[in-house]
Amino acid sequence: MSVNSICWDCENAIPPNVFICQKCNKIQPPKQVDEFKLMGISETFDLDLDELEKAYLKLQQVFHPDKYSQLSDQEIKYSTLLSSMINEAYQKLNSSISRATILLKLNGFNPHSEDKSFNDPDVLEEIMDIQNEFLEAESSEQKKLSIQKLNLKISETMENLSISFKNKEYAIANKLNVKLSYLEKIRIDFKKQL
Amino acid sequence: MNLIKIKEPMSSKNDAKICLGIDFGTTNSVCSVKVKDKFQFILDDNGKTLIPTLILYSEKTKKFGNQIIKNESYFNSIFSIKRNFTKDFDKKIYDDENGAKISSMEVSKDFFIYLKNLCEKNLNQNVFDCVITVPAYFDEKARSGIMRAAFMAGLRVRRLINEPTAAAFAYGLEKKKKGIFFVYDLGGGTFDVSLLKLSDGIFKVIATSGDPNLGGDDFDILYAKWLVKKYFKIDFDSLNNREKLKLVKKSKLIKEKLFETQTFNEKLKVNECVKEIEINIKDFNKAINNLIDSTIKISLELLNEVDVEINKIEGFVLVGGSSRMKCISEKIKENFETTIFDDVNPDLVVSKGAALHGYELLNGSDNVLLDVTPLSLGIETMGGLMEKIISRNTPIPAIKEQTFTTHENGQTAIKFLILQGERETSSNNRKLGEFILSNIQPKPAGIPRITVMFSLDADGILFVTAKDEETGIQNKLSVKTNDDLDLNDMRKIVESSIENAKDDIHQRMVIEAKVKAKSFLNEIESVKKDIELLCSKNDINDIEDNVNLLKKSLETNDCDMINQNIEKLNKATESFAQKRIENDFSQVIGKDVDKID
Ligand SMILES: [Zn+2]
Repeated sequence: MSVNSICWDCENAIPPNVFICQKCNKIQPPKQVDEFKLMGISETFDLDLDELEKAYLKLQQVFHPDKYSQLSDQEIKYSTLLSSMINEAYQKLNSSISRATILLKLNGFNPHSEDKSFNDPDVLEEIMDIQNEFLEAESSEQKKLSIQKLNLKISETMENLSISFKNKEYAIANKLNVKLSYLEKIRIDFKKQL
Repeated sequence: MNLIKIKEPMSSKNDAKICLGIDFGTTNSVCSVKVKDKFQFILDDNGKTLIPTLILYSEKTKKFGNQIIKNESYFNSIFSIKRNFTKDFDKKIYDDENGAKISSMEVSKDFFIYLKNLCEKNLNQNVFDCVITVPAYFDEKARSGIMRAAFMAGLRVRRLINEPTAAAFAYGLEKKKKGIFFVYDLGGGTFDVSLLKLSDGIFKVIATSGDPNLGGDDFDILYAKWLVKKYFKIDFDSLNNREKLKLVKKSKLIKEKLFETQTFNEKLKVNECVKEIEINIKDFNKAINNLIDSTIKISLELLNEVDVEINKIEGFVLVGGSSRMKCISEKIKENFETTIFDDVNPDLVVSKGAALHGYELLNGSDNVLLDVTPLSLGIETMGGLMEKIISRNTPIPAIKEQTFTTHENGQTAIKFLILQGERETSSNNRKLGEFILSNIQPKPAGIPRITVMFSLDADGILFVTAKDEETGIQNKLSVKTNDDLDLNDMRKIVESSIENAKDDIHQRMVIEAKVKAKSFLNEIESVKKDIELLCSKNDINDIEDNVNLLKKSLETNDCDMINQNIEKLNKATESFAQKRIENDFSQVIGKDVDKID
């Protein structure tokens, strides 16, 4: 259960997930809060990224240190901390992989670090095939084609990941997320080689 | 998060506060300000807005900017001082008007004082607050050096903002633009590219890149080389420095004339030999082609790095005096098939953005500027590799933590080397500073947990803290040179010096005395243990009394008293200093660290 905190200035009660005192309007120190709550958006894998950005910008309009440059050192410090937290939460939620990791943690599933849990032979073979195809591609047209294939695989994995979250099958979701992070790494690699 | 109430604007327009926007450029500088609802550029004594970044020290006098242009000692003046900020700007390599050796930072301080005085003359009042622009691709050291120079000039720097961001801010506000824009900013000495998303009142930098040592100056040099080779059959590098400088300046004039005319005749003089030559744009383009290509390459790489399709971009905004070269817009069109926005004055827009932002910082606004860090930051780990803690293009402010451990059994100290750059091996990146965390409890290797926190503030200035999780012992480091002060400490000194300062000169004397006193006190604090170990009870008490005396005088703006108390503390610590040398303390040796996953 989350509890109220007390305003550092006027001692008014501050509800969880609130960072501006309702009574004296002063900025409050950061508190432990998950990324979804911080952003004030619903806890789902299928985020509307435009909505996320809107929420993010709205928060920065309030908490960015530019808005506190005239105030006390303490308030400047709190705004720097909160603004950093908001930046980080936004970046994490904006990426499907870290968003899935957050969701897994929030649902009590401890995501393993990828190298330890990655041993699904079918997935390994799938990835090897993609890599080989790209390496063997002779023209840039062929390379682009193989990237297209990879992108298709990525969106397919994303869809399955979304379904497994809906069905609350977290072990499957974890596996799919590990696969997704591998595919994403390959994609970045391919892009560099283009 | 529930947003209960959004803050009211801070003050009404009647008592609007003044904040200068300073574009401290490699070749030219521009100042501007918004007073109440009116925006204006600051004019120098010749009525010019574009102030050449030139400083001339000659017998007992200092001259700046346009005061020098027609002066016969023009070639003796200091050019492109800003370029030194990416090098060792504390090296005393110049002579001031009294023949004393001074550093690039001190030269820049004098230039900032000149700009500050001009602004005060224009506005007929004292001005302390400013926003200064810096190249987006400037590293930590260069940023903090510029801030330090401005502080020493008595300016309260409210924010450092990146030049392309400032330009986009002014451009977006003025033209009411929305969408994704690519800012191509080619200045006198630096090249920046930034991709920004503009929406209602929000200016969000998506990513930035550039080259801190590529600018219009390099085009001048390249073209000068080409000219002497072609028409005089001489190798440019064989000429003496004065001759080189004259040629480069001539080449710059020709370049600027080429902005208007495609071909013309020009007299060129090399080593007393004069020739009339035909200048044409084709030759010029050929001579500088490689440099233009490298700006295009940097632009392409940035677009490739962020997943933004070229057709999602509204267009390229050209900023910086050197972007006037026609071949640049041609090359951009050729490579990107995009719209080019050149409907701003590329020389003035950066300062304008800084002034508008400064006005909003002090008077409140709903607009918000969100920027990113241009270069990755990290520390050196085992085997001389760089472990990134904050990666490039991370939105700022940013706070990140990483846990490290010891590499050897019983290790009691760790040396942290702070790095900036994108290369894997630490020696290829810029070293920002190092510090040692000592007094770690001796434990087997891999057991201690040392948390390193990187805090990058909204100015893009880095502060680093390392903490032993067991003992709670902390060590702070801000990126600074030698025994200089923390930038936050310097900011406080400038703030406190503004009140009750009789005049500008008095204010700067107060700042100088306080900076000196504060560094001295920090030094004493860092050797406190040694003092207790080496000195007699009497000496310890004497030092302590004088430390307190100096601390007390720091609360005033009495620079004579501060200086006297520095002297007293100096005397009190004399015998300690002597004993310390005799004792020849063996220093704690730092060792490598391992990262904990
Ligand atoms: Zn309150």
